[in-house]
Amino acid sequence: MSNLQDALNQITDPTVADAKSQFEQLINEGKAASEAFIKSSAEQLEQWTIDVSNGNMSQDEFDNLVSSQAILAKNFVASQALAAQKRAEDLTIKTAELAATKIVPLLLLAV
Amino acid sequence: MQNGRKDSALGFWRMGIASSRLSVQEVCQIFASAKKVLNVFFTLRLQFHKTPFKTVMLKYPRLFLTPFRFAICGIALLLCSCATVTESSSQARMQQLETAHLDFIKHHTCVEGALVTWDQASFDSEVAKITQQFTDAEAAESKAVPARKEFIKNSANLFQRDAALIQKKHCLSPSFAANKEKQLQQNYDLLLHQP
Repeated sequence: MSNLQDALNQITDPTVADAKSQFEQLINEGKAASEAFIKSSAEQLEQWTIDVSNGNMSQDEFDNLVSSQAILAKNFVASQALAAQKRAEDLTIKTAELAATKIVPLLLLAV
Repeated sequence: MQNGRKDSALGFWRMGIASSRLSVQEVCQIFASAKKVLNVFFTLRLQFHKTPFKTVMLKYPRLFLTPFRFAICGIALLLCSCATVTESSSQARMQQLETAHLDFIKHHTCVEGALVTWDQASFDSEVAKITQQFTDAEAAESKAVPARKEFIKNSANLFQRDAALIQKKHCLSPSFAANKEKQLQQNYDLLLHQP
């Protein structure tokens, strides 16, 4: 099986038909997302599902990847915060350097 | 007047130091040396005002500002170099964590046709060593950037989950190993390839 549709077609239980179509829709939406993290996560989840359906991965391994992806999502949020923190830090250090190298010496000369 | 000026100049150092990624001990050392240098300058400046060299100072004001300029340049360079060194060493630590984690997965991937030999003591020692690397990396990060600490903590959690899975299965499937490698690269890229 090389695609998600084939993998999902293996499930014939009618009670999960809605879940199947919802899952497929969410994967396709994720793959079409402009955010690299979301796109990559959707592509990986699709691949894991195909690997499980082909018998190449166990349930334990699949569960590990899924629970790890939830931690990755936390790190994605942390990395966004980091970018903001880095900007604030750069601004404050640069301001201090400017004060130290340009402003204060001239200020003291002027006094 | 002198004290006011001195406090104002020291205020800039406080502001700069507070916002950089330095440990408390490093900050204290830099602050102490900065204060010492500034004290020397202000003492000298005060003495020149009281001596007959006052006229010389007015004629050649630059001559008497040399210690102050040294202080300014020295401390500014120190601040710049500390910020740069801290940033690059942090990146290097993250790179090491990624390599250690990826090697760990590779080491415990099943090889087709080969029998799995399990050495609990060796596994425990390997896990302890990498766990220590995560602990050290987290401790080395400054409190100034809490998101970085959070990131390392989460990555250590990822490693513990993988270690628990290996402990249970003793050997990972090649498909899982390939998917895990991709996932770990995605994780560390979030931090290592910041815009």
